[in-house]
Amino acid sequence: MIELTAYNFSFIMMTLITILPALGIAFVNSLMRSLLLLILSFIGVAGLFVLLSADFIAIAQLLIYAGSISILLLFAVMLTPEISINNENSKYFLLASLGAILFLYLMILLITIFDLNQLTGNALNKLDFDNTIEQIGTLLLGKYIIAFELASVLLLFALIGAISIVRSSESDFDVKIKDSK
Amino acid sequence: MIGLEAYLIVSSLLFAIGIFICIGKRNLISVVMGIELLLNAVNIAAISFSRYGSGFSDQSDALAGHVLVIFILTVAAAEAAIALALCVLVYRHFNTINVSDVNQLG
Repeated sequence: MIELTAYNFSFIMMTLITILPALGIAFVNSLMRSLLLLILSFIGVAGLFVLLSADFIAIAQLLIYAGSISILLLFAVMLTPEISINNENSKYFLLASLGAILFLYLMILLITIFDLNQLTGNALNKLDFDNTIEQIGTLLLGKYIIAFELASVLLLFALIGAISIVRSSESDFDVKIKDSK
Repeated sequence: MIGLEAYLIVSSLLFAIGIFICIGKRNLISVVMGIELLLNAVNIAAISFSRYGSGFSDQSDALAGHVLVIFILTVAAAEAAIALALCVLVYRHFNTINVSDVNQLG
């Protein structure tokens, strides 16, 4: 049995905040509620990042996942009318649960083979810094500069692509303007 | 003592739930939510390996996991935008976003 230090207690709480809402998404029938549960799960993951001493990633997780991606999902939920807002399970329910349980079994088998708890993070402890932001910035603009630039190009293309996919064709737009006149 | 093993088990639990949601839901938006959960699970694994891993040849490699997670965040944002645009498009074309009903190209 693990002793109840502050760290262990926070770990257990953050795990519960992450896992229970994620399970809730699978079993709640309203799409809106499952979206709110998803946001709660994202916040729990951010808490786990804080416990792993990844401060910058935790803030980025809160801003990008709990902030913007959930708002995007909210827009998508609200743009599709009420008929399609149900969150029922498909006919592959059994197959899905079988796949998930099999995956979990394999992963736990794989994790317990190695003696992973002997790793104590010496490399990170030796680095001795106040926060990770400076180190990450140096890595991003030094060693990983090409990937960084490619990611910016990817984001630009994705945003332009998303706009041009959902925009209705130009002739439709003209017709609407003429109608309104 | 909470170590790497506990974090990896949490990560694989989250990944298993993500797989379940991806396969077992009939709504396209729920499938996108499942994909976001999968990406989050991978993020937890990457960060925990970065925290507890040792024996990097280069000192600065200790934070390579963080950089990987930043790229995953970027790709996740792009992927969410595109996927939700496709959801809206599919709804306009088929009048449903049930995955099993979307089975025609034309």
